[in-house]
Amino acid sequence: MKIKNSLRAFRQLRCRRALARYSSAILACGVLATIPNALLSCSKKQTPDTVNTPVETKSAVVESVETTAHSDKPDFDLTKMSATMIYSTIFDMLIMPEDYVEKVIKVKGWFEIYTNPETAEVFYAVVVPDATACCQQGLEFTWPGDHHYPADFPELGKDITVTGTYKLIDKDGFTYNYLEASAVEF
Amino acid sequence: MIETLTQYFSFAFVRYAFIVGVLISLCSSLLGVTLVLKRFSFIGDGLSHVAFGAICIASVLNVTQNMYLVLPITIISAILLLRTGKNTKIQGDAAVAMISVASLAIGYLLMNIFSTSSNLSGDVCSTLFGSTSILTLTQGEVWLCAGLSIAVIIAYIIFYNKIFAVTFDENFATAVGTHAQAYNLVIAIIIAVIIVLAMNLVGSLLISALVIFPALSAMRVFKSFRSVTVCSAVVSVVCSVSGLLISILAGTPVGSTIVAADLAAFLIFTIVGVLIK
Amino acid sequence: MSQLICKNLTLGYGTKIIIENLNFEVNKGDYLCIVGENGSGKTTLIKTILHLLKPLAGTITTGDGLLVDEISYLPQQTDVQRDFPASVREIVLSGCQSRCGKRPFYNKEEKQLAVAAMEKLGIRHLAKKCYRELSGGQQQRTLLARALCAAQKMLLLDEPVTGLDPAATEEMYSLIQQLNKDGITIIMISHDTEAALKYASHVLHIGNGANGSNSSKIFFGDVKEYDRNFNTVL
Repeated sequence: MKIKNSLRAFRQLRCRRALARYSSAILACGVLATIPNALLSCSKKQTPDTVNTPVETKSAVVESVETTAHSDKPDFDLTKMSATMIYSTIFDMLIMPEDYVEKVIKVKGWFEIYTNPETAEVFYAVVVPDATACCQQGLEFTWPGDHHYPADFPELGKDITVTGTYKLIDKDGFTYNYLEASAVEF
Repeated sequence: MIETLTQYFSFAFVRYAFIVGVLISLCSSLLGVTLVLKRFSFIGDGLSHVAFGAICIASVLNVTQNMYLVLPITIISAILLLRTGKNTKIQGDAAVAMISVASLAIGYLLMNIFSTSSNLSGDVCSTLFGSTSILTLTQGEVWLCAGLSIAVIIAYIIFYNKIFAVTFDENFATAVGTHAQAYNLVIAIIIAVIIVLAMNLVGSLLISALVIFPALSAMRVFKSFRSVTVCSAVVSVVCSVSGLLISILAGTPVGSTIVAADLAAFLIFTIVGVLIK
Repeated sequence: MSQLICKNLTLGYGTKIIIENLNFEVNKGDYLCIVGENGSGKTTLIKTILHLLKPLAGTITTGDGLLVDEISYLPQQTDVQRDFPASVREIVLSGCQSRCGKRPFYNKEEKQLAVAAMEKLGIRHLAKKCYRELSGGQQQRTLLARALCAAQKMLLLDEPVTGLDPAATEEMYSLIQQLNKDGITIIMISHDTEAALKYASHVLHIGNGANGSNSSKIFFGDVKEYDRNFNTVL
């Protein structure tokens, strides 16, 4: 008897086919409403304070191996983002540097170095992979102060978190971008 | 989660990714209905491999804006493939298989021999699977994608009735005087443009899914051609948006997440279709 | 002046000749039945008349005010179409496509024409139904309504009753006869010689040549002649 009743209910469903269609269309529109939300945030210019308030309460205090005056609060905390966003943000920093220059960035990745074969100068980098780990982006950083490689630096390939200011520099006709680290933890 | 999203949306490249993603998925679903009904679903796959081959050639030649090379090559292949459907020595599907596999192999071969890229397998992987391509578009590419998508949508609306006539019965359309051959050509060109655009969203290997799944989902439930087209467009946009959202929140590759969302929608619509009958 | 004149038509594919030296004429209001065995070239002939194929030799001319694109067509259904997600109204409207030319949308006249065609064939109540849910007879009537929208002077039908049950077959034939009485010239390909004798005014018989020769045995004449010549054979 119960089965007959439920079958009857299903048959009634057929008559409400149009209703089902329209309600699914409305649901779709609801989800699509996230797009105006996104466009609305366009009008708000991104300020460090408004972005950081939720981040601050969650992030732990940054410890640095060598204490500087006080740790900068990052404008862009890449350690809190998903792998897809981290990779894309670093790419964006490369092609649209004017949005990021003089902002404080915090990024976590692997430690790598590059030695200039002519001048024997050592460049330090933090390397970040994308979601499938088949592509990587590297960000060069300098660590001002009394730090020597290899003593004060971690081993190659180890995890490292760098907090620093994004800077651009012109050298020999090329523009280089790098992080001027205020704190490095590993 | 809302705060994280608001923070992410403050980035320009995220907003661009959503706008371009919505436009691309809208156009690919529209043509998807025609492709599925003409039994040409494999064309999407074949053309995307040709486009991959063209991208390899462009990167070997160090062309900065590779769309200008890829688009013409893909359009020419589309015209050749869709016109060799009838009365040829090599049948339609064998021709598509040959051309698609050949472009994939030769493209990868050329990349390996001549490329100056530092991360060859990474470049190939991201072109094939589209893990972050939509989030790493330059300004120029964003404008180009948006412009082409809008052009495709307008063209589809103008040619809608003719596309329907040619899809339902090409013989009849030719017999009563509609230039079916010309409209087949228009459809071929539009498909080529969509494939090249969609490679930015889901990568070369997964384009077929973006084109086919929304159409198939819609056909399970809806009865008239217009409602199938509209539903497939809505499904495609919803899945792309949710796929993008999930991938930037959870850190998964964009292309595969969008296709997984499309698959989930297909399963839901199949169940709904069975229940409604 | 005949509406359709075929002179010395030779049809075939590549080097293979299927029909040689075909001559016949169709006048306004005629009901011509094309009969013959499978593979004798009936569909090829129809496609040539519609300019879908080119003849190897000979001419097809239209006269008596009939323009080339005033010939309408009811083709055999393909599997793709049987499963097509479209409403009956959309399919019938698509017959008006040839009138549109470069115009993208249908105007009021064309929509009214579609409604009238559906009314004539008794499928108006099915306007919103999905094509793939119709029975074979209803699908054929939809395609016939579409053909009527396209042109109303001459109608070519390619085996319109294939796959229909006897009741639907009877209905189809009476519908076609009604259209003929309303003044539309009918050219129909059929396997059904009985129906040909019952409804047609003229018969074109294309048979495979005797003793395996390439040229086919062709007969063209009115129904009574056909009856006399061929009934003994059948």
